[in-house]
Amino acid sequence: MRLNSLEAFLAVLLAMQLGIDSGFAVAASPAIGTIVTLGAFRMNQATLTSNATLFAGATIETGAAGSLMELASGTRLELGPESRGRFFGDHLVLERGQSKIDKSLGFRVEARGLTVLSDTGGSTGRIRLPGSARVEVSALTGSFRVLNSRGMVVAKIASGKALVLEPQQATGPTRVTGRLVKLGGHYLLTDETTNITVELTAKKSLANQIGQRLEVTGSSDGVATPVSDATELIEVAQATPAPPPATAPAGAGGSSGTGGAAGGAGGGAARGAAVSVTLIAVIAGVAAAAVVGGLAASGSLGGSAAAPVSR
Amino acid sequence: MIGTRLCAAISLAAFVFAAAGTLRLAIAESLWRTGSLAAGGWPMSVGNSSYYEELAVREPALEVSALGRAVAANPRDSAAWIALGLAAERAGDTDRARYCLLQAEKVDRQYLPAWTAANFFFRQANDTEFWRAARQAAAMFYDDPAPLIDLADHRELKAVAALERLGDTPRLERGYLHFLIAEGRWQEAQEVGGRLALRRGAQDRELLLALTDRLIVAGRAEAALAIARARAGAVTNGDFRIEPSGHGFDWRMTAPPGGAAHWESGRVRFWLARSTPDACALLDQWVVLDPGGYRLRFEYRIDGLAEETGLHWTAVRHGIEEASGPVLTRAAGLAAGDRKTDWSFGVKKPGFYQLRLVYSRVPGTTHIEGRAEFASVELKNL
Repeated sequence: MRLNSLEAFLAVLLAMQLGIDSGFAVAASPAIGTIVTLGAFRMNQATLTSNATLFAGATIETGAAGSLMELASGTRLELGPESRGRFFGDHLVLERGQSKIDKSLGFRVEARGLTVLSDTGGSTGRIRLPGSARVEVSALTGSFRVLNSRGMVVAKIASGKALVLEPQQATGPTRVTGRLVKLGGHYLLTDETTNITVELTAKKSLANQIGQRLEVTGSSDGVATPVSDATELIEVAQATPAPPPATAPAGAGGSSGTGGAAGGAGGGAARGAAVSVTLIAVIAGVAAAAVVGGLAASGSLGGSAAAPVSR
Repeated sequence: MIGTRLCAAISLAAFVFAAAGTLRLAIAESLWRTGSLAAGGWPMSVGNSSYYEELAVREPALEVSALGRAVAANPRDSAAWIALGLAAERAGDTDRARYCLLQAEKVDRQYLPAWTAANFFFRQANDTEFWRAARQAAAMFYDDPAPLIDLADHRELKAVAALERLGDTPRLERGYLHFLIAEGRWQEAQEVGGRLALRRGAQDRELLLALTDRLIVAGRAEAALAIARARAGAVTNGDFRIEPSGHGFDWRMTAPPGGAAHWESGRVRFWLARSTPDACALLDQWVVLDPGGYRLRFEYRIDGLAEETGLHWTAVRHGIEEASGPVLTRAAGLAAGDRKTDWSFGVKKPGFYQLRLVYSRVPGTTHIEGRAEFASVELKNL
């Protein structure tokens, strides 16, 4: 019995020792992959060339050439030229520039308060930070979801599509455009820009507008739970027939009478890509505008390291 | 006759050979610029590994085969070996990656191949090869050693042990000390800083002062004293023999707004102007004190200020004034009788204190321009 007590005591001591040791080991950030580049890059303020081991929490800053990151999880990322991001095993915090992600299931990119997630393992997408407040997400293959800072889905981007999103300073009215349907006694509308379905409630009946393509503004009811297909319940303030989809050169967004928030997003896309002024939405505090021509308009990740060559 | 013909034939052959070579390069260059090298230009670029390396970049699908041709074309091209090794690692072929990276080290004994090999063996958890390559890289680093140190630090948790395994040099010690300071690992920073301090290298003075500053901010009194070779319960550079550095336990001089501060060997002077605010700090120093009584002795001389100068010493702990000396009078200064002035005070808690000389205009006195001079400051435990 006494021997048992001694053994138990020693076991506890050993466990404590191991605990301390492993604590030290855990304190050091783990290696999460490799980084390869054609030129020089900065890792945690230090300038490096060619390649390095990537540790969790490392801040990578690229120069004229992009960098390729191969994570142990299988995710492959390209950080574009003149870009900066902080890397972790399961996410990237993109601070500047652009990044392309490949085999990204379970991996997320955080940028300017938004989170971008892929829906499938084979998804490839590009996230770009134009201007000072916007995030452009392009789904090259597979589809992506975009979440706001509260974890609410604000956009679903199908393969070949690209969206410019801009979190709004103040929560303004929700604005969606799509065809109104009635399912199980609930009025639903899937926004054409963000592909998000919302449930609508209104003081005045919407029954006579079923099947019509509507432009709806209203306020989000943050308390009530929407029907399962919808992400948000909207109290309709105005529902008018939507004009037929038409495109206009970038910069026209502000004059389309869509309000400051949406106009802001339209202006956001103005940098290098045209937006459809009729396809501007505001959902859960995030303005979104489709990039006309999708990926073709959003361009490609130029200058990145497609293959590693040491110099 | 035969000789002339032979000579002409050789010249013609040489000309044709040179022309063919030039033409071949021109065509290869043209194919390369139009982007059709991948399709059919390979044979034109035989012998030039950089073409294959560029091809590997432009055509990711051909990466491994192109890099294979690059190293075949030029087995001494370490960049190609490195690229091929990294590509093989990405493809999961670690044996080939290892071979390629070792080849890169073999043909090029510079930093990059050693650094790349160290990273590869780190990822493969091959300790023996990692430390060999890391040591090799450490002997050659030319820029910031932080990434290499970071790598080594992940393998060996004790900084001093890691340093020894990397091949301890003052340059590496400095790099490691910067790294540890940035990480806030004060115990190890003290150990590495202690090694540097032993060398007494002039170029390390700034770094050790910076370390002392950080240790003071971190509240690590013993470590800070050890690095600065300072004593608890005493002032440093009290005789103002050397110019105050403003770091560590040395004096920090602050020119009063509108006025000036000046050091000359053996004394410090402050000029207060009409525009000087009613309260400002002029001089301060970190001291480590145990609970008890202390006596501060100093010499001073006043020119032009009010009789009640507004100058006095304070002991400040965590930004709060723990003790305050009497206002110095013009009459009691050196000009009046060449004697030292004492201020006795007590502290209740051990730790860092800022011994501070401040100016605070005495209510009822007129602010007059003037000069104050201080020398021979001593602190004694009573």
